[in-house]
Amino acid sequence: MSQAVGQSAAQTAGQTLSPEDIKVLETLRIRLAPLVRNLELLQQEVGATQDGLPTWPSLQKSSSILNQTLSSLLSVLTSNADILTTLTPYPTSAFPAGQHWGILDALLQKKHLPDVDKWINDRLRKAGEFCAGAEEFVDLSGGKKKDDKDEEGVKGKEEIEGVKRMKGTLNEEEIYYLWENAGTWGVDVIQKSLQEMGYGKSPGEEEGEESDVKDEEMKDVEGVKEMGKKELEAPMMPLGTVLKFMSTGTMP
Amino acid sequence: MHELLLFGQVPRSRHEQVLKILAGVAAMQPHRVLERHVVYKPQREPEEPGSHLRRGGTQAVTQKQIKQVAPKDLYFTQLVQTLSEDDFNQPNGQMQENGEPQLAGGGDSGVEPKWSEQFHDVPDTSDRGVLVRMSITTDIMSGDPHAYMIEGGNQFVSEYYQEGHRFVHENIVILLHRVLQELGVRPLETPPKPILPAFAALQPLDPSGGYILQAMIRVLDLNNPTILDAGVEELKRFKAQIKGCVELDVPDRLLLDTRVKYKPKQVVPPSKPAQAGVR
Repeated sequence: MSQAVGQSAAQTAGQTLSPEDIKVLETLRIRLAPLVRNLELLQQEVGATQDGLPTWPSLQKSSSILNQTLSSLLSVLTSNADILTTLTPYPTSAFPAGQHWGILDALLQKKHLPDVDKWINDRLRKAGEFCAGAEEFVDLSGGKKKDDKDEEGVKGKEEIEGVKRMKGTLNEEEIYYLWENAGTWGVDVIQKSLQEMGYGKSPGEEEGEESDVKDEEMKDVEGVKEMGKKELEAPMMPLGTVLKFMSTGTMP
Repeated sequence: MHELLLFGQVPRSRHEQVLKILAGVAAMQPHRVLERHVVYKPQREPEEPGSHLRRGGTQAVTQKQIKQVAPKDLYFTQLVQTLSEDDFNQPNGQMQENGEPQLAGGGDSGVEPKWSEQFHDVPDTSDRGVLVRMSITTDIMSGDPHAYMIEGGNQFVSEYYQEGHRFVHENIVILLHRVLQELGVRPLETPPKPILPAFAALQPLDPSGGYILQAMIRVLDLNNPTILDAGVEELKRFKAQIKGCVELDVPDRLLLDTRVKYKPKQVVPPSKPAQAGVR
């Protein structure tokens, strides 16, 4: 919310701001524009489909785009935190408050609307199930939790107090580790089987990396991996190929 | 002679287990099977499908339909040599005393013939829940089987080895086997090797080393429905009995197609004549 406020401050009270402030606010505006556009697109898409949700691939695509815009926004926010936290919005006398009281209202509002609050709480509760609070974000996050809510590491302590924290089975690091390495493991298994079929070279490197981390989760994962390996150990030649070879003497 | 067939696959890791289970089911010790299969096909190239049909338009308005005779199909044939592990273990040069290569027939000593000629027809189209195909096996008592095949208008295609165990359960011949072949480029030389390679040098065709379970009942006469039905029933009973251990199923009949496929002729560079047919 504060960036929206800042933005309006740039438009209405540009003369009191230093060029640097304006530059930061402009960057914010540029980052916000695609976010708004992408959200609108997604909204249209959801509206356009009859039975609720768009297809998974398109959902996946829009969510990854949104994720990208959000994280670039976040990087702007954090790198310019010094300037942004000092800025406060106020209406100048030239602002047509009578006509645009709605915008003014929204800009000057210090608390979130109840439904926005509910979103934030919901997301934070969800995040609280597996995230450890990242301390350095707590101070900065004062007014911009709405945007930060999708980032795993960010969480205001005061917001959490009223929310019941639930115990999840995996913590943030474990989840991160799992997802970081899922691809590698998959490749590992594939390489193994390829190797048995006589293609490719030995994977090698991953082994050392894996053995560095020792926690229970890791053991579980490794157990699963072992099982997977065993099942995949022998990708049998299709029966048809063998039968064909036996009857014609040549590979099909 | 007709064969009723069902096939299943066994991963290498379960081979031992399945072998024991089958020994229990059939109440007999597994009988070791080692065979060398030499595949031949006719020297004549198959004709193009549909080549007997009249092509292009005709100006005759009404013409009596001339009976069009399809060209006869050409089939792959196999020579099967029954081997034992001792045959492999002989140090290089498996020559008999008189210097003739082992390839020559089993001789006249009255023991089991070493060589036989096998012909399998394409499985028929009936849907009985099992595969039905005609199969003719002719034992070769003496002489040089390879020369015999060549004289019969055939050419050598390739050879492979079949290794496994055989059980007999009631009327069902159960063969748990896998295909082995020599490493390296498939030999394109015309005669099959007179010298057997070392057994250890043979590699399974399936890189995972998996086995194939073949359950077969031989029926002499397909025209007797009672016998045929009894055979099908017995095979299905066996399939149900072994369900969960090995899934037996009916493969697509065309996978066992032994007809020589027509291949459009390629222009062979003049430097290498007479190679196109072997491929």
